[in-house]
Amino acid sequence: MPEHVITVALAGQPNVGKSTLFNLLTGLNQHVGNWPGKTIERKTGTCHFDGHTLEVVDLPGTYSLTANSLEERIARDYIIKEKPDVVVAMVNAASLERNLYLVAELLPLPVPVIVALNMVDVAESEGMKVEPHVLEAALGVPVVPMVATKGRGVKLLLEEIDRLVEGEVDYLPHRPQIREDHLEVVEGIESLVNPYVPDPYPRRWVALKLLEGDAEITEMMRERMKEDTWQKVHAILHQHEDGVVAVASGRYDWIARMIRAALIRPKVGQISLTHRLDRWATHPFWGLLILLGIVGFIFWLTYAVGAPLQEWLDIVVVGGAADLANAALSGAPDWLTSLVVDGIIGGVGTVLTFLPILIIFFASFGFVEDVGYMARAAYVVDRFMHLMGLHGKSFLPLFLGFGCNVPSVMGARIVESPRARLLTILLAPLMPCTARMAVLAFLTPIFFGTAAPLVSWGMVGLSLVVLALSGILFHKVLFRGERVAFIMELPLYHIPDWRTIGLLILQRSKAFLARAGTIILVVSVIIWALSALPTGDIETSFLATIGHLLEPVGRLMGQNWRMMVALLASFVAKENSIATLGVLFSAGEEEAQLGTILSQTLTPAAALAFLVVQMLFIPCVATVATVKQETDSWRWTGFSVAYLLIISLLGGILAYQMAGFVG
Amino acid sequence: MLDQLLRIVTQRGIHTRRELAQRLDVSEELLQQMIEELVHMGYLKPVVGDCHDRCAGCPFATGCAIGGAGRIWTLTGKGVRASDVT
Repeated sequence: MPEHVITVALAGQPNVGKSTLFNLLTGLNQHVGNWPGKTIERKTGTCHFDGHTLEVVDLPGTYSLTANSLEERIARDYIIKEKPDVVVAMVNAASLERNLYLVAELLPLPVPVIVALNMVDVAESEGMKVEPHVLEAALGVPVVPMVATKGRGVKLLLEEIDRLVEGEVDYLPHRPQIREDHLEVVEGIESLVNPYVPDPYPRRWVALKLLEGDAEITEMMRERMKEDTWQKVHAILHQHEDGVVAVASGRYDWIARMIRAALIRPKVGQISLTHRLDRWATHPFWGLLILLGIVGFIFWLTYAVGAPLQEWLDIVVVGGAADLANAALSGAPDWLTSLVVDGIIGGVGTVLTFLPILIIFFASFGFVEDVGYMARAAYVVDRFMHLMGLHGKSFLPLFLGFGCNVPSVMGARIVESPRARLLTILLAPLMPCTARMAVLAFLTPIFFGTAAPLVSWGMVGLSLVVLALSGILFHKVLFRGERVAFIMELPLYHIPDWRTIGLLILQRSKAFLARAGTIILVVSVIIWALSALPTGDIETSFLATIGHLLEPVGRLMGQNWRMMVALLASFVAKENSIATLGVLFSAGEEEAQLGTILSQTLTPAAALAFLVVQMLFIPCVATVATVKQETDSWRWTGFSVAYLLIISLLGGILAYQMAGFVG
Repeated sequence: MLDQLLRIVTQRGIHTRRELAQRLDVSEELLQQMIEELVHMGYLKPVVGDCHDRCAGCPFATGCAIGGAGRIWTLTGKGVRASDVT
């Protein structure tokens, strides 16, 4: 009697130890060739066990059997057409869920499956425990625990193959089922295709594959079926375009059931640090508190470290430079001394003193970004964002606005929906950028002393509240609510890379210095020129004329013409507010620091109003240009400018009147 | 399971993988697999990869926080339609 050869196909995802098992089983009795007509390696070998000869076929490693790749097609065609006696589905116990997907696709095929549960040692070392007997009961197919690298479980596997082939075990697999509401659909397709399905193919499987939109099976059936019957099938498929979801859903439901039954996960104590931190960082209440705390801490740091440095630079460097220039230009015409001392040093010099404040901002935000916190912040604020028809993804560009509004507007490109993108662009200028923060950091200590951080906090809060309210308004009035949804992966927290942060600080500082050397220099000189021409007396200058024109509006907010000019100049670049004030107030004043003069000129109520307007005012010209570029519409750009102008002036008037009322 | 995932995702706003995994009572690993499958089927699409292309011309790209370490996926039109049906 000829010896019965048992054909065993080894299936599994890549890197589950399939080759190790193949080598263990076949030893030197291997044959390596190619799959017919394909360039993919085909390994076969023989193995003798307990009087049987096993022909072992190593199928290409595949994640699934969807026929997306050549490997998948080879594996599935082999199983269906060659019908091996047994398929050994090798799975990695440490990555069971991912591996079970292939098993879910193998079970509906007309060949018995044995699950070789490999790497149980790795799973255990990771704190996971897979119960082979429970898994076996849940799957309804034999499960053999193994450590292939150590040769453990191989004999047991061979015994199990033997028992299965000999019919000593009941093979009653629990196959994944399609979602119930699609069951009838599959049955309908099955009854239509039934007479046309070629022999080795299981009918239900073909029906499911058609519903899944499997190109190979669709083509095969279309060729075999009569046109009118195919049209009926096609109509059903067309009507159930989401059938693919229903089929795959069935598999995932099945995997989840298996996992719940057979896998014991690591205990809470072993949960990663990221997970534990995120319990707080993404908590609806604590997460928000943490976010506020972080932003608050950054402001505090700015005031505790940045503000004194700024003050020192202002006195020593700006003051020193002015003294030096005065001395060096002692014989020069008055206008030249005034240009250098009042125009350039007063304007650009004052702005340059912001550098320490900016460096602290850049460093702090760089740190927060690099440590991996940003995604949590986006998640936490999302609940508020959706009220404005925006979602966390818009939060990312908006958050960039803390640095500068220009990238913020540009960042809106990542928002797919045109409406949400436009909304993000319209709201971006309301984010308090570092330049505005610097103005805030400069002015608040002058007027509010120790309450400065609190006032700054309030100003930032105000900007954000106005942003939120504007968002809700735009969302309700201009755009109908649009549904946008995201899934975010929260990256692992990690120790920040100081080089990355250093580079970030360097790049942004360079950009700031470049601005100071160009646009702010030019504006300072123009402001100086306008303040000196035509008579040389600032009170009768062109600038005063412009300022006086704006004064009626300014008066409502307690501002004199100089402050209005400063506001106007901030359109060119936000720092110009200070540069302008530096030019305007240093003109004709000797030795006095800008801060001292300002505190004597403005009441706290007026200062508050000035800050409110400054925070909400039209963004700088670079931002406006970017808004135009990104919206590609003068109408929306005009709307943005007009809206912010109105909001800021109203805000300023309201702040001044209310502050005056409260006293 | 996938339809449930689509439905939860469309409900509103941002979802983290962990939150979704908890709601579906599956591991994050399985959820990731489901996301990949939905991407493959055309119901979800990764956002970050998209961004890098679009940001190619942006002068701020080097110091940009968008498209950081975490990946983001969003529903496609097909995904929205499917979640309406299911």
